[in-house]
Amino acid sequence: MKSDRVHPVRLLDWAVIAALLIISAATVLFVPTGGERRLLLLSPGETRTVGFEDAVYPFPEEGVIIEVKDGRARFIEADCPDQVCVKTGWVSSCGQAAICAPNRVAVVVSCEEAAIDAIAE
Amino acid sequence: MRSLRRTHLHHGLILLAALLFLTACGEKFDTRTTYALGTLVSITVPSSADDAAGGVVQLFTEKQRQVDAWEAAVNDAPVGKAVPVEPGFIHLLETAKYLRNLTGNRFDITVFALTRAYGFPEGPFREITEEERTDIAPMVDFTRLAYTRTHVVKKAPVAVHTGAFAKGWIVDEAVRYLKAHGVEHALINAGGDIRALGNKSGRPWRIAIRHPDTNERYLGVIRLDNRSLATSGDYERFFETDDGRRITHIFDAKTLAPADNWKSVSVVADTCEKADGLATAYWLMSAASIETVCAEEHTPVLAMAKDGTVMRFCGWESLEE
Repeated sequence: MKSDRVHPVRLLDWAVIAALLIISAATVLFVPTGGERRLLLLSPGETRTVGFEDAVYPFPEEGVIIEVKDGRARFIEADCPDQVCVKTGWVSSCGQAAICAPNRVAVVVSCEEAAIDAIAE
Repeated sequence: MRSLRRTHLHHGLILLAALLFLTACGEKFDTRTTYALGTLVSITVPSSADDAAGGVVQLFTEKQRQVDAWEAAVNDAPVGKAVPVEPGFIHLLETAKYLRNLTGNRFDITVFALTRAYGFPEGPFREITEEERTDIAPMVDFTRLAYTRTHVVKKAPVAVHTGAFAKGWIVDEAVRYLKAHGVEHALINAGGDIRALGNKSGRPWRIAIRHPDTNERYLGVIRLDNRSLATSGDYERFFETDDGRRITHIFDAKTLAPADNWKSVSVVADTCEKADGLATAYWLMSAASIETVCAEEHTPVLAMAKDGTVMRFCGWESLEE
């Protein structure tokens, strides 16, 4: 009698345990390292989200031009004196950014699920 | 008895599996990226705390305006006038004094008179003449400031700029705000001044350090749990002279010249203000001095020398993945 009562519960137990373990393992192991990559183009008063298709994005009022090519992005032109954004070069990894602080324009690689939560620059 | 124990075992296993399941699923986080504090800022909080992230952006603007106003009030005041200031500014002056002492007077917020003459922070830039340097030299002297808990007096002409650690202080204020609004897990990155609160769905926050010479790889990746990280780099604010020399934005108040000891210095500390300030203070020190001071201050350090040598001090390795 006793074993008859325990037995079905045990089967159900194992089924539940197995299901939970499989799902959690799958979630842990297959967290995409990046997910979908997008570019955030920040300028005063506006943030645009664009893909990585080859394109050139001019910001005439801010005096900068951003280029997207071969899955990377960079500033090709900026009228600020320090030129830090242009010298940053290409960015492509999750969280990477090129910033033109004087003109308040930036390009940021934004990922759905990144392995890195922040980059210290 | 045996089956009872087994039932307990099963319940325990189910509980464990359920916990793993919850941990794996975790909380969903959203990152808000915007311009604030003169740089790019990102605030990562649980999706449910989106309002609090909005509050942080507002707080950044308010605090920056406050610091700017405090500095302007002192910088614009005539010599000998007692300028009333808020406790927050006295706190910043105390931090300035602490960092000055730590570096044997190489760190000094009154070096602003000099950096301003070079055109920092945003240009146009130029190298100053030796005559100009001689003229400015007496103004680089923190002891020209006298202060009580409520007032600041300039004893002689002097100008201050707390940019080396005020951003970190503002990030700490933002974390206080988040905690007060019930947020337990968050990550703030204000142009490389980073503070972690709690963790990300049960795992520590993962932070990469930018490599000074390439975007292709990182200088390192660390785990950060309830602490702060700040980095000073020679790629941040600089200009190049006609003969190709790189003039970086960190100046040594003793030599009155740009300090070019390092390519990159990263510091982990309990508060972002401390990490931020020490990233500049250590920049002004030799490797041997950093090693001594970081042990006293309990702050792990990662530094890359001009020749590309990477050095780890005071337990940095234990943070690495």
